[in-house]
Amino acid sequence: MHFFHNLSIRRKLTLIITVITCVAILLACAAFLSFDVHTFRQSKLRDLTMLAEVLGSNSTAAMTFTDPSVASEVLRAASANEHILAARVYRSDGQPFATYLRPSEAAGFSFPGVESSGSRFERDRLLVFRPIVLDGRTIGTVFLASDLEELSQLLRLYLALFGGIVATLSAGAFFLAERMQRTISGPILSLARTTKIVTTGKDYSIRVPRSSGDEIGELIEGFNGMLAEIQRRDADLQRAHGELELRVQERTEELRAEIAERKQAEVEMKQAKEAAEQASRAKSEFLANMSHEIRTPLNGVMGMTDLALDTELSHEQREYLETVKLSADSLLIVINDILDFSKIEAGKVDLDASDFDLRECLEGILKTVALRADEKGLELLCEIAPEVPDIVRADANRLGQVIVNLVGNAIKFTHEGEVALKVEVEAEEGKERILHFTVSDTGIGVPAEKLQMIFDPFTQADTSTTRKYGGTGLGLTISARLAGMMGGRIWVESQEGRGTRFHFTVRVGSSSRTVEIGRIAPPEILQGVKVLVVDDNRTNQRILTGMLSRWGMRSNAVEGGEEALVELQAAHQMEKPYALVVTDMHMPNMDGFALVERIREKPELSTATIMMLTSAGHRGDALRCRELGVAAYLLKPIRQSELREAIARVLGAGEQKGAIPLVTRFSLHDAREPDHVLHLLVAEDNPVNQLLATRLLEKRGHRVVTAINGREALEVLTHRKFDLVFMDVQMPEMDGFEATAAIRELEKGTGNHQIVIALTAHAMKGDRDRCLAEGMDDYLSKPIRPQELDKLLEKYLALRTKPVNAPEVLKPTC
Amino acid sequence: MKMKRKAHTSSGLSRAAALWLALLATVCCASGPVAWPAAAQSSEPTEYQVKAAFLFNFTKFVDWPESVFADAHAPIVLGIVGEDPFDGDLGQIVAGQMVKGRAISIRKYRFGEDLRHCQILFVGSSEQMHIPNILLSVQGASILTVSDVDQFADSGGVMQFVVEQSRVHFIVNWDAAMRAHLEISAKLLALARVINRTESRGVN
Repeated sequence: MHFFHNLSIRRKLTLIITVITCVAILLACAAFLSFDVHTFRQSKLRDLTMLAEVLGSNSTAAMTFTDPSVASEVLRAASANEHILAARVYRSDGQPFATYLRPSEAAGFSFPGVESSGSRFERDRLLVFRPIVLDGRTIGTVFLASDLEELSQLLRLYLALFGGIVATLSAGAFFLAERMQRTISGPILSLARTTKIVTTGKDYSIRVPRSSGDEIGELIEGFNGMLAEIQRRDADLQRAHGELELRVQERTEELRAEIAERKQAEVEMKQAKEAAEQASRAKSEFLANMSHEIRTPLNGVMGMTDLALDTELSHEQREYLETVKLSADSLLIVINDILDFSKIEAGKVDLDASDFDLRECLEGILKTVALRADEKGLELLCEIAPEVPDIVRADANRLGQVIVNLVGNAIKFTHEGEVALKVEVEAEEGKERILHFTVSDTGIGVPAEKLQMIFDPFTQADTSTTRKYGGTGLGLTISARLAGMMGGRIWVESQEGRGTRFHFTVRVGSSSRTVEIGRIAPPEILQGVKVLVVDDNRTNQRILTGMLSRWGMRSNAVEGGEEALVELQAAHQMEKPYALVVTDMHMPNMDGFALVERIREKPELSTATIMMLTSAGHRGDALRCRELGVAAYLLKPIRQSELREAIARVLGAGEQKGAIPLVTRFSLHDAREPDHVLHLLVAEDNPVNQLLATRLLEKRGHRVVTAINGREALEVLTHRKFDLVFMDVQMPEMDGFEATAAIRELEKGTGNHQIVIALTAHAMKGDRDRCLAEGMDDYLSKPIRPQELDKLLEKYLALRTKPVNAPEVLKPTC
Repeated sequence: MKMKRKAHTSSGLSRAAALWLALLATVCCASGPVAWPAAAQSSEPTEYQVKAAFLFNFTKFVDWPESVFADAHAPIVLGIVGEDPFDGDLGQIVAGQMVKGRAISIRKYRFGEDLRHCQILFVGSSEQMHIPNILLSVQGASILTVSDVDQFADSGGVMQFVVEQSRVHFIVNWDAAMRAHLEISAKLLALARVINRTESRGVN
């Protein structure tokens, strides 16, 4: 079949016609032959049956009178038919009566068994039995056998004849088909040839001549029509192509002109933008300069006032100076607020999100205001819901600013009662959480009609309030904007005279980091440990017991040494002794050391591990602690992580029954007993500020060398090395940036790194980034605040012994 | 059935059995040409038993004009004149037989009686002397005259039995048959010796 498919149409047609003709002829011949054979057989049978009848009839008398010779004579008449092979007469009992055999068959003919009547064709002969009937009675049977030689001859003749006919007709059919198929295949082939020419030559003007009116003629006509269409479209396409090129050219020209125009506009726009930026820069510059110009003298005023307050003064002088300090503080707050506000308004505040420990951060913030609350006799409460994650990702400084604002506000407007900070998780959205902070107080409250405008700039409840409580009224506005920037909002509810409740929400990211505190000991070591807290300060008591319960410790608090001894004795008698005593050092009546001495006098009470907390360290304290067997000696304010680490360490050591080295805040950071003294270089051109910085640092026990500008600082640095260099940014001759660049240049290839801390009155956004970019390690804004300075020094003190390479490790914490 | 009867009949019925055998030999074509020795055993058919069977069989190959029968059912009458040599065998053979729709009855005549009312007339050898008279008396009537007397056919009788080589043959006087208006089947003629044939037909 595959072969047939690949034949040309000409061959196919010829083949089809020839094959069909041959098949038809063969069928006709076969039909004729079979009919003829059938007819022949019928006539043969009829003839033979008739002969049998005659012979049978002629034999009746011979049989009746038992004369076989006569019967044989009768049968011999059959020899007239040359095809009779044999004839026989049987008696009615089946015995042969008379027989005739064709001479040629005399030897080999085998008679079949006698049958009463019937006929059948065997392979090459016809057998007939007929009964012999006389007067209605069967007296015997006649049998005749005839050969079919005639039939074979007939078949041979027919085969020869049909072979000749088929051969002749097939040849004729082939010849005719070959001639006639041309009328069909001719046009198709011509069409195919033309198609090939058109395809290869792409000449669409060629046409196929139409030769007939049949479907092929229509096909050719259609093909010609298609060619004409293609030719027409080709021409159209060419034309369109030409037009398109023309249009492209035109359009290109237009575009060129347009682009030129736009470029012109762009240049103009750029110029306008530069002008605007110039103006904006000038404004920022002005603001920065203003802030610098105001802060520098204010720094002097505040610092010197602090120093003066440390000297011996008369009561009147002290009062005046304290007023000066208060006013300066207020002024600084006002300046900072205005600066912050203008930055926020100008959209120049970017959030700096990083991972931090929220609980630790909040504790630090509350610690800064705890003093003020304590002074006013207010309870400062902090409640953080358990579902609030430890580590969150947000701008810790800005969050702290909002909280300080709100809590500070609350303290300011509350005369008695409490101020409480509450943190909850409001919603969780994928990896982000919305934290809900509530700051509630029991203060004077806000009148309902003022609630709406409380977050508007430059408003306070009323002008009289301003007079009474001071402040710019910008704090809440700034807080509101910051809350908005941090993906939250702020609102307030208040009842005049009963208190105020500020709410704000902040969107924070979750961190993959887990809490780092308590790495040293597993939390189990703290679980269920009984602790006695001895502190006369209620806030401290609350803070400590709060922390301890959070770690699963069972804590009790007492206010003094006597009560502590009673409690320890009672616990001992109940056989539930305390495992740990955390005592304050400065207490009325009986201080920490005295308490420890009293405990040591009673060995039954000495099973407890003792930790000492102090707010001001004195020389020799550590030695005394060691003598008294105090396990840890820590400076207040103590961080949660520090306390936990210290407790875990002393309890762990107790379990190991090893020698217990005294745990101090420094040993928490490195195992070695640290040297408190830092060697510092202060480069500052303003003599007042230079003096102030020196005093502040020396007061903390550090050695200070000064330089009046960058050049002098470089000179000093070539002679000796310092732990820290405080570098004022704005200095004559060589400013802080230049000096730092020079230091870094000298360090190149040595592997050394001099820590440089920028001192700047530029509290503008970007100052810190600029300082770090210029190669400085940290940043301290003027006026220098003792707390910030302490934090910074502590940080570098702890890291002093370690190589410091990457400034980002030293990011200031909130 | 008949063979069974034969099997049951023993010496007491030997004659009947022999007669049956003769009949079977002719009518039913028993084994081989019928032949018998002079001193035939009781089981072999006797000459006259064969002749009796022949007489009966002639009725099948001879046609009489319809006018000789009174009606369609009238029997074919087989007459015997003179001494009956068949000893009752003939009566046994024809008893109950029907030929061409007719029964066959046997009638015995004495010389001198009217012989014209039969279809076959066997003339016994006892009537040898009266043959011419007998033939004369039946002249013109359709009667197949048969006898085993010598020269009977030559004398004008239609059929004559002859025994040659222990076999019974018969001679037909063609002319006499024609005169008696008898149609004798060619098949029968093929077995007989035919004399006085006027038509140009080969004898035998």
